[in-house]
Amino acid sequence: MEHTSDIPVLEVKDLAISYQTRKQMVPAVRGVNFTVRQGQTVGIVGESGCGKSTIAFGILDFLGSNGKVVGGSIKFMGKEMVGTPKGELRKIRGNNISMVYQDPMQALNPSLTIGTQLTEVLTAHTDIGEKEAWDRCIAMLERVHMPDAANVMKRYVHMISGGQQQRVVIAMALLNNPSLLIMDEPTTALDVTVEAAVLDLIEDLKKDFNTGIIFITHNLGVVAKVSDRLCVMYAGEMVEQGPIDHLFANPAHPYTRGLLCCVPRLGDNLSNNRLWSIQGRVPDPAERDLNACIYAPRCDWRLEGRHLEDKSLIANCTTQHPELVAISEDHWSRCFLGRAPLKVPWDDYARGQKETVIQIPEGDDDLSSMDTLLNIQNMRLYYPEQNPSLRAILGLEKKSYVKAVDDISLKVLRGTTLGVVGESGCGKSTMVKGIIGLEELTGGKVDLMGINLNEPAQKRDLSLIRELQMVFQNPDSTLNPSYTIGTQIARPIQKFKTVPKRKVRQEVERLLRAVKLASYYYDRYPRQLSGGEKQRIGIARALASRPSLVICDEPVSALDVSVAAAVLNLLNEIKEGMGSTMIFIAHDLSVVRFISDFVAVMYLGEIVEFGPVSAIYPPPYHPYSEALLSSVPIPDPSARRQSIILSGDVPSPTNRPSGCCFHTRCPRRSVLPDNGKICEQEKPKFQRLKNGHKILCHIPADQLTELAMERGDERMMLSTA
Amino acid sequence: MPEKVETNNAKTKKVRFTDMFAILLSSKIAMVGLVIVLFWVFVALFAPYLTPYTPYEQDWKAPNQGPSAEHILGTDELGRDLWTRLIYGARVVLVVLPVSENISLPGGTAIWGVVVALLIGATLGLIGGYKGGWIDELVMRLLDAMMAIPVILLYLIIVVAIGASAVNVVIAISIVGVPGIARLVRSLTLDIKTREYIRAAETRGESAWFIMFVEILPNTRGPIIIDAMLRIGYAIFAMGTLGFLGLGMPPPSPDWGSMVAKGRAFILTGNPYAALWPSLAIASLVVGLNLLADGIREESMRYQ
Repeated sequence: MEHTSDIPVLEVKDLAISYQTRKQMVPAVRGVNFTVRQGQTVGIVGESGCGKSTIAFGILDFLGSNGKVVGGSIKFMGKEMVGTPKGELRKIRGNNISMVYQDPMQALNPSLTIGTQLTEVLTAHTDIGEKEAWDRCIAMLERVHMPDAANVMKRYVHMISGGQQQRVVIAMALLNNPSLLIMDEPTTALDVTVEAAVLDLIEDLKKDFNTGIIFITHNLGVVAKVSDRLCVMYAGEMVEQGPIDHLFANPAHPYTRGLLCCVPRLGDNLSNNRLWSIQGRVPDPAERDLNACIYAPRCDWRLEGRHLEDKSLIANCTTQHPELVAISEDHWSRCFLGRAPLKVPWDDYARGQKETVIQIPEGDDDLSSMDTLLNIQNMRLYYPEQNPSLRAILGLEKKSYVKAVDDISLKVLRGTTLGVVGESGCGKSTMVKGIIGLEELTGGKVDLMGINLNEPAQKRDLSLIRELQMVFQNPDSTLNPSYTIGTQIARPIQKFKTVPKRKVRQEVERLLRAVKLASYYYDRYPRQLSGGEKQRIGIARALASRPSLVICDEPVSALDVSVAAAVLNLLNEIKEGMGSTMIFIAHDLSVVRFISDFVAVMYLGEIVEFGPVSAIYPPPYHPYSEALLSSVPIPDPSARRQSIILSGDVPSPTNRPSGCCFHTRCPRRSVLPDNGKICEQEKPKFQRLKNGHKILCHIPADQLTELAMERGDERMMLSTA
Repeated sequence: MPEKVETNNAKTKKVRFTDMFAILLSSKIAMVGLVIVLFWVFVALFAPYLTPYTPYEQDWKAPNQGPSAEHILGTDELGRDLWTRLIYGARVVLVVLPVSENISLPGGTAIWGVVVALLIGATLGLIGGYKGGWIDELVMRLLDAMMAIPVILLYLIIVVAIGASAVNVVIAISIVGVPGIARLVRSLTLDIKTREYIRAAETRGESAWFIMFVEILPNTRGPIIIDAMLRIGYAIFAMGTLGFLGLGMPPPSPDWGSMVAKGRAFILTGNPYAALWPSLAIASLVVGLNLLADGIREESMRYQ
């Protein structure tokens, strides 16, 4: 860090913000203290509903008509902002504070060119001429590593990719050289490989611009990568604050420790089948007890008194509100325990053992001796592309297809979980839609225990339908808001007649118990449930027909980490308890690693690597898997490693590259003769390795291993041993 | 969302109802609308008890009178009590549908018109929206063609073609209402059918009818209720127009529109009451329904 001037960019003291609702004033945020200095990045991390964005809006005075700063102070460059008239605030904000939002699509205006939007920033606040503004914008785009910046200026938002859009938003935020940049979940909407590139960019910019950054995110891995200081928010309060290295090494607050333990990691032992999860949920702002520790109802230290020698420390948890206490110089925790938790290593938490570890017999590299439940052979799923030209309507032009899934062959073994990973648009969801019968196959063959699955769902036999069920991604749309939970779980039971009529209610309650919910949920409506609970109901509904194959389409990606951990544990328990077979789709490699027995990596509608989980995560990797793995943000600031940044965009599935589908972005093809000419010309064949592991690449597996080792990927090797 | 402790279904329903009421109470606009609408519903329901006259009773000695103690709103050109005709007119609009001389159905002409339009329109909208493809194309283009004809003209054509009676007015109102409702339901369906619970129903092998009417339709009710309120307002307007043009209820039925038409001739002769009261009645009821619908819509959006 460069020399920091004496006046901090932003100083927030005892900030409290409340919202007016129909009934009363509800405190959304209180007791927030932090300081941002020049060139420093302060991360704010916490689950949803913890008031992270409210702080950002409070600083910007964007709280809306019903929000109000009710206490504390916000000093920007030494000047008090609370109580300053709106007009003056506007001037300060416009010139000195910029904000980057989560979704670039919503932050940019689709009907103006990027150039118009960027130059507007300069011409609105200063009296720079159009021409000069244009040139400065191009220069700024180049600084955020935008390829072909001059041309991008003339384009519209939809003509560039998501990662590039976010670069434009960041460039826009930096144009008037702000002293403070607030980033609210800037990478959450992006794919991991794009995220890695944007995070690298933020790191670079910090050095170049000497700007103070507030980085808001829910992802501990992301925050570990970019921040200097970290503030942990819980239920509207700042519970812990400190320098990033110190905080990750010695987390003092039980909530911070809980959060850190919830995340599955790439380095975990493969036989773990339980994640730490925090019980309960974040209390609603109106229900928070202001005279007690806000975390007390969920705190395992208070409830179980784990490792605690001096029990008197937890006497006041429910009667007094704790203040921030110093853990060490510059590190505070809002907990009565103070330094006590530090004596216990934080990663010491219970993790179960897998009861059944899939054993692949020696020499069976085709998995032919295993009990196959679902067999996919050369599956193809194309969508005809709408071509509005007259020639196409008259049938004169060749029809073009979006090849969402192209020639996939897969086996799902009975009692195992197949994880499918890949970035958005790689065809993983389309593949399962084809299996479950929501889309008609264009070609190939899918069979379940020998029964053909090529027919779409409406034409399938009821006895076949019940064998395949699905768990969906979005907890808010997975349940019909018009019916009670009981009715919705009962419907498949009645439809498939799994139990006699009079026992339906009993069966529903049994399923509710199986997903760890009390039977009184029977009469509740979905809107009364939290995201995690809704997702459990979704799982219960899928299990109601007693299917032999459950397909989970990103079931935890919309959930908070602590809730996601509980849902993952539940899925693991169900899998071991009932012996279900699952296909688990995710974009998060650490989650897939935790839950799967086999992993398939997809790119552009093809499987590029497949194998048992123990073979996927250590080298050799397919170059694409390697890039994906290296981009996973790891919640450990000491592990700042260089991720492989993929150049270019994912090609359009209508116009697939010739030869190897990954050759346009492959960082490894240069090791082949002629800069990988063969990759462009010839489609690679699967290289079959041990235990059913196969890689779709021209580069020999041994060489791939060497390349990965050269990059220093030993940690991965060790962790799977 | 505060956690509800009630575990009983009935109680949960009750919570929902009080929520609805809280929305009504917190919106002044909605309350004003509600008061106006309830006033008309009340007088229409209890019309026989609120007046000593019948709407057909003629008093030859007192035609075209202003308000007096005997006739609180005055009389028309045949000496009929205007207050009586007004509230019996409200009855036809809101409370009873006279099918023939002896049979009448509960529920007013305007309400029946909108309900029938809702049934047909919602079905067409659901089918078009959920099925998509050429079915959608066909249904929607036909309805577009209907929408292209000016509404008043369409009313006139329909009523002239099938004759003037309460039932035919219902038919006219519903035919004119169908395209709008179908469009609304279709757009809601297009949104709802992308939700995952619809995917879940499809993977469960549910029939298209089940998905449309059991899974989708109940979730469209919010916007539909608000739209229906507005539409009842339009229907009352339409009834007034048809009555004014002599195509409403056959005389001597107390029809607001025809009352205005009859009274119109006497405005300049110094007896504006026969035209004034029914005009005010139509205006206030339509405005009341609009206020109610707008208030509820605004208030329910604000706290979403």
